[in-house]
Amino acid sequence: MKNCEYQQIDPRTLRTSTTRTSSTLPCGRKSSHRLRRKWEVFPGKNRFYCDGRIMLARQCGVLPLTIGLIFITSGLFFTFDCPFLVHLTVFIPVIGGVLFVFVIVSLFQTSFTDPGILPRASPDEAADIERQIDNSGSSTYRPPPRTKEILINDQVVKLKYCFTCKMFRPPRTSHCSLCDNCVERFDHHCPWVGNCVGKRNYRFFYAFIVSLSFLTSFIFGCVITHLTLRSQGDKGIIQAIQDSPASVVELVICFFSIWSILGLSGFHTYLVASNLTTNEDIKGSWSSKRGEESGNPYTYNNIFTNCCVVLCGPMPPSLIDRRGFLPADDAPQTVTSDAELPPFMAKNDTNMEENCQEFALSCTA
Amino acid sequence: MISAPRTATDRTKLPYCHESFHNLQELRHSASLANKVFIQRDYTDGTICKFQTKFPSELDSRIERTLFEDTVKTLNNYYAEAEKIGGQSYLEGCLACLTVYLIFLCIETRYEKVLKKISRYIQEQNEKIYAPRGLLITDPIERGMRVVSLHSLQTTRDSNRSCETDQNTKTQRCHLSNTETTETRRGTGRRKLEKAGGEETLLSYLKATAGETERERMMMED
Repeated sequence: MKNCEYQQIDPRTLRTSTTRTSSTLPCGRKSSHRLRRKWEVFPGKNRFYCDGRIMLARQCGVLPLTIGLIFITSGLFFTFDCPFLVHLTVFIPVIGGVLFVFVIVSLFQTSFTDPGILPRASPDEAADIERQIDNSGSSTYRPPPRTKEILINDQVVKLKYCFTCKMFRPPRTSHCSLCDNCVERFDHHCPWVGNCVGKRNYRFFYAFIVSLSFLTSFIFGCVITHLTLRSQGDKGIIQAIQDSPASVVELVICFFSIWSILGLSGFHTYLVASNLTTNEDIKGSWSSKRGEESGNPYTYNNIFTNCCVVLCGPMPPSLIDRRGFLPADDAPQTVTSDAELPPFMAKNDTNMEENCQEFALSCTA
Repeated sequence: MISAPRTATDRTKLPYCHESFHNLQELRHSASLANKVFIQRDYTDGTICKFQTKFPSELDSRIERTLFEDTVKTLNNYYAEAEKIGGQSYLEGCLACLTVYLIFLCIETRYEKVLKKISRYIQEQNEKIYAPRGLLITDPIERGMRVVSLHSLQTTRDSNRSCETDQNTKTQRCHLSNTETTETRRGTGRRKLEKAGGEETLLSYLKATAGETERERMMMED
């Protein structure tokens, strides 16, 4: 009898419901082929485009501004300065073009790549960890709850428990509050690129800022050259500016951005050379000022090796499998902090039939 | 009559051991926690992917210690190979840098190749060693490389038999999903699963679906 009732609910639900969540039921024949992909139920604050191929943080920050500034400055450069400077050498627009392509491609890769998000623990894993936490406990010193101490290269490292993702965070992993995800080798959340910078996209980010600093310096230099050449020959600088007002715009933009971009590139070069993340540097995790015998346990103590490992190391895969299909068991197998699913899809609901009936009633109401 | 909304339909490009895992996913609701063992990561060598080789006490009576440790050690070796920093990874990295990392869109990285090897290895281990003992290992990539989980297959047999009379709606769900073959390309395999019984089910199912995986994987590529 219960089987029959359960089955009877489905057709009604499927016919009347038009929401996306209901479409996961092998609803009739029309949407039987319509399966949800995992990105559609992703618990973090991310946005997905192109059916999960492209992802961004929900707060994409000033990414449009970044793109706009780059395009405007480069556009003005190619339109107004290049025709004048090409007489000097043809390589100027070529180099400018190459740098521009590098900047744009690395920017898009930084923004649209999964930074190394760790999928949240499934309920079984979370329960298993909880059990272990309850069972363990030393008789002498009891550490603060929900941390675990491990030894990495003879260095004591504390692993913290993430209450949102329900797992002990691996070393160097941090939870980004803006994206609501744990990110491996978390560097920082960059509003300019609209995404977190982590293990998987750090090399893209570094390529972006380095090529951008080259581009801004190059444009700055070219504009200065342009205006200098124009102002020669008894024309004067005022006349030169009037002849080419776009150059002044580029000059202003480049002048203000060059300080910050160059500074950032220098800072990240230091981080790469010492195999640190911005997060660790800011917190002073491995700083010797603390008075303890601590050093970075992840460094290879060789600048060249550190650079190679960080920038040319193997590219880890994305762990969130955003384009994978959800199993027909509708509710996602990860722990979500907010219950967005309608009651009849609640996984842990033991009284599912009551909810099914309630839903059926609400559909017919 | 339209079936319950919990039957397997399309598959992603996961190897077929995940198919079995998926079956077990449905049964997970009815399986007690004691039937799942999670092997956590071992971070003593840094952030590289490595799992603890300590033998969990829950598996004492289920599998020989040496077999289990061999499996985990082999997995660790595979991951070490994937993350090895050497000539090939530098070459790959430099080439990627020169092409502004666009090459990652075209070629399969070494890591991905090793992950496929790992999937095949786990599949093979399940077939030869774990399934005959009523266990199933899941690929860590399914769990975000956090744990290697082992499921007990005991519940499969018990649940299949007790499903009809069990009042628990979750177990009911498993009954419905196991007996109903609906709009699914895996319908055939599932029928075979429910017709056979007990642990030998898994092996026959694995063999039955082995051929389908590759075809599906290709179809899933888009």
